[in-house]
Amino acid sequence: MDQDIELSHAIQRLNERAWGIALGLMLGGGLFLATLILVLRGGPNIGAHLGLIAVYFPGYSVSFLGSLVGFIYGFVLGYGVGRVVGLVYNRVVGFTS
Amino acid sequence: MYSKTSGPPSRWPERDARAGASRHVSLTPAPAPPSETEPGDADVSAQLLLAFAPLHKRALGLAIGSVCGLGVFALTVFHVIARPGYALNLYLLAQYFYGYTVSWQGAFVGAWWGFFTGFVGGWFLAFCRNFAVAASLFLSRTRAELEDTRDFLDHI
Repeated sequence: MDQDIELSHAIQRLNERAWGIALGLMLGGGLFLATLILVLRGGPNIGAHLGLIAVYFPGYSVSFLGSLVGFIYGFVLGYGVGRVVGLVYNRVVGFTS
Repeated sequence: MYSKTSGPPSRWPERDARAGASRHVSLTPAPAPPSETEPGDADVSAQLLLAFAPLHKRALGLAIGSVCGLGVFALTVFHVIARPGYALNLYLLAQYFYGYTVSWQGAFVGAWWGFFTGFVGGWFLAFCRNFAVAASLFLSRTRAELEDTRDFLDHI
């Protein structure tokens, strides 16, 4: 089999679930770490800007509990975004090939 | 042209025997007769395709662009409808997205800009990923070929 030619014609498909989990962990973990770092650093006005996310994520706050809530929100949002990216990508690839 | 089975008889059979394993997974053209292919060839080929197949740049651009466009649209619509008092200053997006405002019209403008930005980002992401994979393949292949000819002088 001519693997070079086959490779040049092959198009990678995305695993939607894997993309969802990866983006979910990135977003959730990122928000979790960002919140936790601010909490551990402390100060008079902790996370004045990061706290604005509570407008979109009800229940979130810049606290230890809020970091867990933020992780859940971030994971769910990232999972959805990853699934949609994988879905659209695979549809477009299936349509064009 | 690097296959043992497709070319003329080798001048260095022991070297070919040593390098056989690496050639088995080599991506260089190595057409072999169907009768001499091993049972694992299909598996190796499928694994190689899974590992090294390029991403479709336009498709990834469309996918990420769609998500970004929808995201900016949804965010703007949320601000237009809910009007949260103490929230992100979304109008600052106008610094980058020409014509964007926190309004219904701005939501569509933002969706277009979000799609455009996401498309460029996704296309570039796929390009970089494909380039990195191609570069690593090239390096691996060059290394394997150098390894094959390392003891060239021993056989003269």
